Amino acid sequence: MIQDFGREIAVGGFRGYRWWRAARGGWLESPWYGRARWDPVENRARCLVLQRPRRWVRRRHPVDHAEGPPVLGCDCGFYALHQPPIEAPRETQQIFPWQTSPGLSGRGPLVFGVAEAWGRVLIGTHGWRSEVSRPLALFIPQDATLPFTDEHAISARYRIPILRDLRWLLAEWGPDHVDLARSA
Amino acid sequence: MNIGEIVREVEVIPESEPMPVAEPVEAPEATPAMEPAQR
Repeated sequence: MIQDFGREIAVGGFRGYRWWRAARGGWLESPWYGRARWDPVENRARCLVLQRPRRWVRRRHPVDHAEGPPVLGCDCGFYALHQPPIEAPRETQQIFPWQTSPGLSGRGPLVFGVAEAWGRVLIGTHGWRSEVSRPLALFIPQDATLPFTDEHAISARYRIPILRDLRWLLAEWGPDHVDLARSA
Repeated sequence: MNIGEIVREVEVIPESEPMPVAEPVEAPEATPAMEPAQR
């Protein structure tokens, strides 16, 4: 059953933790499903993937939800977490690849950071799905080994802070406490 | 990502965007002043 929560209004973007893939030319891409390239200013979600029991399948054409993504009964929208992910066992990561330690940001093509969401946002107990999003800040250590680009190209394209210490990212850019209780 | 159970739905307006304002309500016509009572 799909629950109707009613819709509250909030001012100012929601923040959350997520991963991107640092691609050639300093572009950030959605890392696992669809490889969508992120615009520095604004990205509007389209419903392109279908979740099957153990894997995601890319659709040929976007699904035309009446209200646009994210939709309660679907899995669409931009995703982020309220808390940094905790490293999961390797077999778990094969199904849930985002459960990788943020300390590994930049030790390969994936970079960890904070995204901002606005528009329609569905808030879950562990994170959110949003209609619109953009990257706000990244953690890329000094000795990063990005295979396709470097932090200078990312910085030139996105004009966002790139922090060398994960603690600084969490302290300065981490999301505020999210009230999970419904307002009356 | 697994964001857990959805508990709220929020319409988030960026701070740079003006808040939606209710349509202005037309002021009711002024009540005509009472004519001074004739003596």
